[in-house]
Amino acid sequence: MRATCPSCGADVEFKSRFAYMAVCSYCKSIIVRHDQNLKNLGITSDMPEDLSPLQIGSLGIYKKENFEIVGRQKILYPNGTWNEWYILFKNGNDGWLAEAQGDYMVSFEKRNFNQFPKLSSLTIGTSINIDQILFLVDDIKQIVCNGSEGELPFQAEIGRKSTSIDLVSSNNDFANFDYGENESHLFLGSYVEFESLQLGNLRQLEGW
Amino acid sequence: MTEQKKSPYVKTFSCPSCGGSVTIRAIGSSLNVVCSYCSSIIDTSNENYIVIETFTNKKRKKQIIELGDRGNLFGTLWENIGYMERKDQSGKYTWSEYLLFNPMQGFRWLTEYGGHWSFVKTIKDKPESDRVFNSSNITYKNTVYSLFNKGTATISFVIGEFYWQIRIGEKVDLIEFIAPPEILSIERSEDEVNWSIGSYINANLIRDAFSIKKIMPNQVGIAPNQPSPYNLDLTQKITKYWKLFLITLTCIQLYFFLIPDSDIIYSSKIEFRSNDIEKTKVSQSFEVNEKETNLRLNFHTPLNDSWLELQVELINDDTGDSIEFEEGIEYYSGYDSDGHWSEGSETTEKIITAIPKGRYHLNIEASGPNLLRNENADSSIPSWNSESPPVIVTIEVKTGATIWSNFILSLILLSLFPIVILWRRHSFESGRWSESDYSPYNSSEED
Repeated sequence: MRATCPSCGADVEFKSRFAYMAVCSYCKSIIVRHDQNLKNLGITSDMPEDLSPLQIGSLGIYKKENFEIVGRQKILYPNGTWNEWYILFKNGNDGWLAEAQGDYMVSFEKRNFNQFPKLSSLTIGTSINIDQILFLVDDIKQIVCNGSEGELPFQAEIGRKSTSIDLVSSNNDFANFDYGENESHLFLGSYVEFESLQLGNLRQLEGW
Repeated sequence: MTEQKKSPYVKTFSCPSCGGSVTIRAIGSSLNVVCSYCSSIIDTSNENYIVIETFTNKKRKKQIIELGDRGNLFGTLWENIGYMERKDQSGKYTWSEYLLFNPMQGFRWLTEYGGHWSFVKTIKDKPESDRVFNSSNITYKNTVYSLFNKGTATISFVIGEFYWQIRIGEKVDLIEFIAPPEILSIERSEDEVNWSIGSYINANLIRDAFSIKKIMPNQVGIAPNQPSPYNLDLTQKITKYWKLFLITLTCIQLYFFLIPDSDIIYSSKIEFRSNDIEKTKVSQSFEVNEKETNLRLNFHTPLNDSWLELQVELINDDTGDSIEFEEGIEYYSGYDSDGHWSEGSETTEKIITAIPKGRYHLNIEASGPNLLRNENADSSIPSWNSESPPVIVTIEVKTGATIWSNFILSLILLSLFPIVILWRRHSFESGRWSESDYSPYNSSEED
């Protein structure tokens, strides 16, 4: 879907049917799509600088499906930062490519999931059954969105706080609960090798 | 190797504590940086650059790779962005850890102790983690790792930038398992458990990759994950072929032993009478047709509580070359309280090796109590009389005798090399484990 930025009039594209918001690449306005009724939520600040080789527009392949990076949110937590790249597959599905210090993980949101365990009931080592797979809680941390760009499937503005809970199975399946203030998400995924994604249109990092 | 250019992606700011110039290289990934002038730890998660802590850096080892140095290892360009030293619980051992960064691959470590280097990567797909603290071995990706060390690691020196909140004195429980050339390390703090896998890396490779001009640290002893020059694969192969050779050799030997080539090339009976004493009996000539063979000479004579001494000469008819030997035959038997007994044999066999092709004959002299020795013979020896039957010696000459000495010599020669290799491997391994409390080579040196 193509639209016009209500703030500056530039073209804004919503490529993903799941996109909830987009950041105007010209004026940094956060544009929320209340179906076609675009609303400006204000201006976001510049993305914190990093040396990520990925960028919006990078192309890749996951399980033989072509995808394109269409958005990102940068996550900050007490012990570091990472990038959550929002990816759109050619077949219309969407997903996430998490990138942290050279580790890459592809995950997919399990939509219409409503059996979120009580946050207070979760501690490291707690076991949870998701889709007949036994997961153990591996890590619990408080995270905050430190920057966002492109289009994103939920309202991910700077300062969005949530509790992020990583779970792992014995088969190296990965699950993540994101408990936000207003909504919760479940993501399922696995680690991938950088090379296996066959990424193209990467950011040119001079000297590297 | 050409010197690598420095990264154009660096950020420089003034240390809020001392005003010195501080550089950040892994922009966006570094959480803090240690000022090289005043040792302040500065928060780099945002541009406020707040000093978290200032400490006094203790005396340190020699840093070989400088911050900002770049090198190509295993096809990837790495930049050194941080350096720290850690010591064990006893304070006796201090090792160096260099943090390497690449925007695509993230972080790796180069660790150095006693001139031995490892290239280390943290791993996310951890093995079953709970049991590990009480196990003597663990399996990771189908490889069994043996427990080598349990202790702690404490940061004693730090400089440059890091991707976690670093602080001097930071202490973790450290458990190390080895499967050379790899070392699997588990670091446990209050908050988290981190796994990493290190591969032994040749010091020259690092020197060349980072164009190091300084003198590399001297190599001391054997590193826990140093690959043995007598590695398991090689020794297993050697042992396998060794066994194969031994079996083959034994089979061949047994074949010749059990199915002797009973090719009788000469056989006759020679009579010795009283007047034959000290007379040489000459056999007929016989042919040895094989190029070079072993001869088995069989002498048999019926004896009854007596003995016979033979002096034999094997003579080549053409060349006159001769081989002389003596053979004694004795046989005694009787009855006592235990029943029948016997001692000795009426037959004797002599093996002569490496006889060339040709015509041969035997010269034989005999002496014994049944033959008169001389006129003044001891009265206890029954003297020969004309009524006594002659002493008949049956001679058989066969070719292709089984020689055990060659077999045993071959065994020894064949075993020499594998034994030396196995022994060297053993001493290398016990050297490796001499630093460990969990050595399978329980050395008595420590007692």
